Amino acid sequence: MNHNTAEQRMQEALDGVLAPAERAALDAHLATCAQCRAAWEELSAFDTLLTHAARIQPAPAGFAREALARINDPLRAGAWETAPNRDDWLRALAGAGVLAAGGTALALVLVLPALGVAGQLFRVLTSPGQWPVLIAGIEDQFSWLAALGRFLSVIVRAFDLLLREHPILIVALFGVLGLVAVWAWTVQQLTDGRSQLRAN
Amino acid sequence: VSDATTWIPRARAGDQLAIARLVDDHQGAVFNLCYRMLGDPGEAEDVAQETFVRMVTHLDRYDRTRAFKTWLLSIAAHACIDRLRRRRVTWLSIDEPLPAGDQPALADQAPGPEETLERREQEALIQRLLGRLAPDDRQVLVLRYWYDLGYDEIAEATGATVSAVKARLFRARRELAHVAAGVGLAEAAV
Repeated sequence: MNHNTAEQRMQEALDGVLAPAERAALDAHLATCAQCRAAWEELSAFDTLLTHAARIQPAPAGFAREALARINDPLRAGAWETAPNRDDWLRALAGAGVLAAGGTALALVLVLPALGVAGQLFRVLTSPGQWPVLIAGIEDQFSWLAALGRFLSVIVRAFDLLLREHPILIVALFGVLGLVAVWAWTVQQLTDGRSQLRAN
Repeated sequence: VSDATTWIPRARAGDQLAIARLVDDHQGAVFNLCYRMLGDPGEAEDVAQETFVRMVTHLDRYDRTRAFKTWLLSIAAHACIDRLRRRRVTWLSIDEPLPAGDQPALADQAPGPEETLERREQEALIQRLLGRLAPDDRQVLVLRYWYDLGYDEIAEATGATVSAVKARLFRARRELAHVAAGVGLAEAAV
């Protein structure tokens, strides 16, 4: 039994869902593995703490009265679900904008050429002698893909050339990525810190 | 008399007495979940009350084959996650007093005679530990230990899959067990 499996079994043992045979295998492993034994002691001590100390925090005095008043007040009762904050509106607006722009672009790029192909296909299928026209039509419709490929190829070659001549740019690129990572980490820590302070 | 057979049908029909009975019976469980999730008694009270508002407005969606308490806790759990997501990053002044989350007994609730100093410290430690977890992990841990729910019930309450519940519980327990061991769990587990 490896450490990961052992820890999985430990958690199941704490939740009372470990079969007797698996429990015996876990005990045998714990007898020979100091690392897992230490982990088990930590987990079982924590489980004991929570099992004995998890008490229901009673609602404050007057809670039920205030809740009923809120239930019976249509303005207050509806306020919570019908009054999203400013950030919600901004997020919804931004999301709608992105969806609209993305959907329009997708329609232009995919749907319209597809309709053109479908029209040509219908015409050619009703005139079997025109099959070469169908192939030519499909090639025309998707010629932009070949152009895009050539464009990307040029970009990649130019980028490759640039990096060969100025390798310092690679360092700069990773530097920027590092800064972004540090920034994201800092924001995360601030968010966690704020939640932590509120929780404490 | 069970909720499902007596109070819920009457509450659905708008019977104020039945609604009051449901609120009265479940206020502790709902408030506790909100308090454990949010850490702040005032905010927990607000979200818990709104949970009961949602309970009344959504009673017609309640499936009688499910446990009412689990259904109600799922409303509270989602409300808490919503609230946590709405919290914004704000800078705290060094001079600004910390939120009152360290006091497990609320201001208007005098501690009972059986409540000892050790119990308060233990309560504060547990709340601090919970505050270290990501909301989704905290939710699972609270439902497991405070409500003794199984994997299936937690999955039902949170809308997650059973495997996700196991993974979250696994992660939460491993993280907090390690931290708790570092701060002297034996002393805390009085």
